[in-house]
Amino acid sequence: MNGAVIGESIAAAVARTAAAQLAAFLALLLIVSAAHKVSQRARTRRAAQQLGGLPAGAAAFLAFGAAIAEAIAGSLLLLPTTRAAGAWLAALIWGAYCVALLRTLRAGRTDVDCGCSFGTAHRPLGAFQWMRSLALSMLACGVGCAAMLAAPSASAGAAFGARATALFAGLGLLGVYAALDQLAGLRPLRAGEAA
Amino acid sequence: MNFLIGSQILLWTAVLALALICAVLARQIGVLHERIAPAGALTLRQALKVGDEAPQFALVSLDGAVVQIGGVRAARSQLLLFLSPDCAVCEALLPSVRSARGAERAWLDIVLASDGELARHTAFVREQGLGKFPYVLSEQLGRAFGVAKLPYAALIDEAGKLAAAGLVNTREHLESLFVAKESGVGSIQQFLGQREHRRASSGE
Repeated sequence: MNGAVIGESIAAAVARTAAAQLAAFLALLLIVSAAHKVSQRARTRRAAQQLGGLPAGAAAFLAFGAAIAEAIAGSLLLLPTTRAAGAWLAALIWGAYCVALLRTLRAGRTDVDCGCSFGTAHRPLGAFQWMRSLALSMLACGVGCAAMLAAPSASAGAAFGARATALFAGLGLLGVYAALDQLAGLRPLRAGEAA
Repeated sequence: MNFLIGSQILLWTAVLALALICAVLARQIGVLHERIAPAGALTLRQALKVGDEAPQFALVSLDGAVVQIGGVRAARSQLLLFLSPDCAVCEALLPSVRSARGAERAWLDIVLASDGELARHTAFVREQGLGKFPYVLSEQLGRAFGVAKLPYAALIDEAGKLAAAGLVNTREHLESLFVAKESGVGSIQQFLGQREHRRASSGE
């Protein structure tokens, strides 16, 4: 009986910790993405123009709106009390990116720089980009569900420790994401044995 | 509890450091790609231009089979690789040619071409294990494609038109012909010209 209770509490603690750490990762990713959009306004505007099929003025407005929405979602995700709202907003943002990418691909356009990587894109637009947006959107949905079901923390000290750990975990996962982003941006080599 | 939190923070810091190292290395690879690109085959001044109808020949290969050069081919392209047993660069390129034969077999046929004494070429084919490639000897073929230096390759598309051609000293040069056909950019000069134009128009 005791073993079952301990097992259940460990599983719940792992799930809560993972949700908090993923929330921190998504929050940091959104905030960095928003900063990236603001710092590279011309690229973001061009991406919005090509993905949304909009005129320059509307594209600039949309790009600025996307950056603001990302910053808001990221900030909401950082705080436990507003985490669920932030997660749902993040899921909506990445879902919208996914739809825009799919629409562009269905129109047969693969030469578009979607502005969805931190480096310069060398790889043509393809399944990788929309699947990444979809995965992030689903991850945000998972965090949103976890935040709605989560029980309040036991003590202030434990909550502080969990928040500190989650912040470092978020930074670590962001580093992994940045590394994967760089790797995914590399121009693919042709098939064939090394010769 | 404090020990566990401290340990977690240290571990995540290590993950972050490793991820950043990985990102920096990947970035360096990207920068190297940028700096060496385009490693395209150099197109020499030639009578035959990209997009022109490739000359058609029906030649007998070293193993006695008739090899059709040029002309319309159903969903298959043809790569003519001009080489010589005396050419050291040609020999160094052969492993890449063998690799390309396997990797691009879905759409490409590779034909080796040269001219000169039959016995020397037969010995060359045996020594280098080139028995799987059609190997033709024809001086007229080289002249028709304007071959001045070796190793030289000409890629003929499904419609029998010249898709790309140039000096191929390395695997990158060889692959650049395939990329040139896929991207519709005929030569390194054309690619560089387009890139300059793009940069100028985007104000970069």
